[in-house]
Amino acid sequence: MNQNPFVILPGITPEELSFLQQATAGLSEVQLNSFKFIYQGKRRSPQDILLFTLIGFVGVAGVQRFMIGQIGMGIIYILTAGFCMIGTIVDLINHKNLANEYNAQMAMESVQMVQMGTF
Amino acid sequence: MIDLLKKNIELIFWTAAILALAAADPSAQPHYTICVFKLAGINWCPGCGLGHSISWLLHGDIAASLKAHWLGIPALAIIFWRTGQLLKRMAIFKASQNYEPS
Repeated sequence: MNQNPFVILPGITPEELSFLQQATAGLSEVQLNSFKFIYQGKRRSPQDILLFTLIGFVGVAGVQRFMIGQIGMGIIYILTAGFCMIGTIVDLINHKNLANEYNAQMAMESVQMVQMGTF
Repeated sequence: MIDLLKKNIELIFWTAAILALAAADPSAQPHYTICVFKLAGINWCPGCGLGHSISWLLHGDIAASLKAHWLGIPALAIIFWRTGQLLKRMAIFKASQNYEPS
């Protein structure tokens, strides 16, 4: 019985584990190894998102949105101080969902890259 | 139910915000503000007027919208786009829930 290779990822959530298992279902052993390397570089831990959201209370709001590739949202957050801080609070509550959403996209991209053989 | 709220809090937030701005009357005298900076006495901010701008836009007055804040149009577009994305995600999630594990 092998241990799941993804459980060592920092701050991994059950949802993330389940979409990773779905994404990597068709990969061989060698492909799975290169997937791990690519995905590790791309993923954002939920804790990082939480910390970057907290910056919104003391400095620049919206860093978390830039982190997960939502540039337009990030610009609005900066200019409105995180929608007068309400948006920042929403993102605090929602940080795990934001991380999962981004990580699911990155998992898909990583699988594509592995299958193209570009690594 | 609570789980549904937690999963879709961002979607609920954007929808509520847009509905509130559509229901508000942008020409009315400002009566209260939730802006922390304005309450602290800082009267200039690069985002000041954005709420009015979006509200005018939802009432169909583009000239007044641009006068309030030039970023209103792109901001509304970005919020709509994000809402659409979240709706799409919710639909995908719902579809994935319908599979009966055999």
